[in-house]
This record gives sequence, structure tokens and C-alpha cells, in this order.
Amino acid sequence: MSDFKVLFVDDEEELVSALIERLQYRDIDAAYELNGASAIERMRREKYDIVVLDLKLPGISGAETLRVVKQEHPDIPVILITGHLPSGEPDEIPRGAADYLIKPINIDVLIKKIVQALDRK
Amino acid sequence: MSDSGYDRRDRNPADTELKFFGAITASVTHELNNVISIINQVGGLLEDLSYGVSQGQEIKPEQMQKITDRISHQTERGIGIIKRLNTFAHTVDEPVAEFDICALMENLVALSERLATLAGVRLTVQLGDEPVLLTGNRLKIQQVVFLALKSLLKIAAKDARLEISVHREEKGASINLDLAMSEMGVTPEVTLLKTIVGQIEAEMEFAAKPDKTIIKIILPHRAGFADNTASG
Repeated sequence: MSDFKVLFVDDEEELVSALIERLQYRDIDAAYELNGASAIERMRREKYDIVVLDLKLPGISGAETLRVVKQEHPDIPVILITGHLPSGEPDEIPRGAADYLIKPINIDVLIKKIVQALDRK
Repeated sequence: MSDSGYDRRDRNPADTELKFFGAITASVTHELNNVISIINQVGGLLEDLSYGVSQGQEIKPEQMQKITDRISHQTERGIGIIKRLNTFAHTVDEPVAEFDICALMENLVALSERLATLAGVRLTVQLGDEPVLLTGNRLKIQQVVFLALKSLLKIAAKDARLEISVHREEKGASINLDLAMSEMGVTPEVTLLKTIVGQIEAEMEFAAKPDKTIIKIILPHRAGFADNTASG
């Protein structure tokens, strides 16, 4: 298994479970939560090295989840996922994120961005 | 600009209709993008397993079955979303038409489900067994109900329940939007809502109680004519 742990936060369980299976197939240690509140709670109990977070979440939004995660774990990088950027400009990505990805996600690009974000820590 | 995408100063009927159409399209295409993303990842999983087989690993038949089930489920989900969006898009074909308000609301509620889920609200719909036929501008009527729904989502407490029900009335039909577990407050959308309700010659009742908020829209048999909304 990898020497880092990834936490995914996305309310589309079919999507995130398939992504986790693919990462585990590549020996990457990954888990998921379906909403921001449960992700914040989980991160208080377990240590993760990086978070991959969907911006559109039920209840607490992705932007608010990002704010709380960065407040409680300032050293943990967060990569944001979004369906699209309305103006196509990365400026729309909330501050504090290490990087972003647009769905559909390419698994190789995802892994590359995870590794890059961890290297920048 | 408010959260709904409507500007408070915006009272031009054509502009508000276009923004309503845009809000529905944006929400639905976001959901479709999720469906495509899932199929993309599940397809990728199949590629991973195929690669494993080429390297001498075994695949259990149930693994393959699980993958094909996931693809089938998402394909059906995608087809359902496209059908609903197509039904919605065709409601602008004729400015005035006879329609079943129950079927119209069933489709609109289905299209609005993701917005409710994102707001942490459970959306339910109660329709009668019999069609309730009205004549009028379907787009305008959907816009009114959508604005009412969005105004309630903005004041809803987490895990609240919002029930939309359609009732036959002597003068036409009524649509009740009943939000349990609301937080008190009037949002800008209610102001715009009142304006548009007036344009289609409908009536609106708004009741804010300690534990619930209700918006009732009463539609006459002939509601939402284009010529009622031409002046802006």
C-alpha cells in the first residue's frame, strides 16, 4: 500500500466507490465520505495525508468543508473536484485548495495531482 | 444577484423565464455529468480488471456482473434525466396549451430533486389519481412553482421535508408547497414570485408558522397566458 492516505468526499457513492476501487487496485490507500460533516468528523478521528473534495455537496457545501478542513488541518492539501467552472477560469476555485479537477476524472491525472500536492507539502 | 440567479431588479418576464430555463438546465446537466463520470470510472475499472487478466489475474463472474449492473443502472438513470429534460424543454413549444398539472409538477419536482438534496432537504410529491387539466403557459407555471420551491429551500433547516401536492379546486387547481422544519424568513424570491403570480393571474397564499412554512399557489383553469406577461 502507499505511504499516504487519501480521503474522498463526494455524495455520488457510485462514483467515489469506483474511484476508490481503482486507487486501491494501484495500491493507494483511500477511503470516502458522502458529505462534508462526516468527512470533518472522520478527519478528527483518523489521519489522512490528502483530501479530494467535491464542491457540490449536500448540507455543508464543499467550500465550507474546505474552510473547516484547512482551519483544523492547515498542512493537509485539498484537491477540489467540480463538474465545471462557469466561466472556465480557475479563479473560481475557492482559496486554500492545492489544486482542482473537472469531472469526468482521469485516474492518471488524479494520481499525478495527488502526488504533486503531497510533494509541495 | 441573488442565490437563485435572479436579480432583484430583474422584472422583465422574458429575462426571468430565460434564467429559470438556465437554472433547470444547469442543474440537470450537472447531474448528467455525474452519470457520465460514474460510467467513465466503472469503465475504467473494467479496463483495470482486463489488464489484470492479461497479467494472469483471475476475475470472478460476480465482479463482472457487479460492473455491468452499475453501468446499466447509470445508463437508465441518464436516460431518465434526459427524458425529463426533454419533456421540460417541450413545454415551451406552445405558449398556450391544455395540460395535466399533476404530470407537469411530477416532472418539475423530479428535475428539482438535486437542488433539494444539495440543500439537505427531502422532497416529496403528492398527486391525485386523476389528471387535473388546465389551459395556459406551462413554462410560466413551472417558473412560479420553481421560484416558490427555491425560496423555501433557502429557509429550510437541515434534514427538513418539503412536500409538494396538487389539488383540484373549483376554480382550477392549487399547488401546496409545505416545508416542515423551516427557519423563519422571507427571501427575495417571494417578492419576484408575487410579481410572476400576478402576471399569470394566479393567486398566492404565504403562511409562516413556528414549525412550518407554506406557499399555496392557486391556478385558474386558464392560467399563465403569454399575452398576460408581454408587458414588462
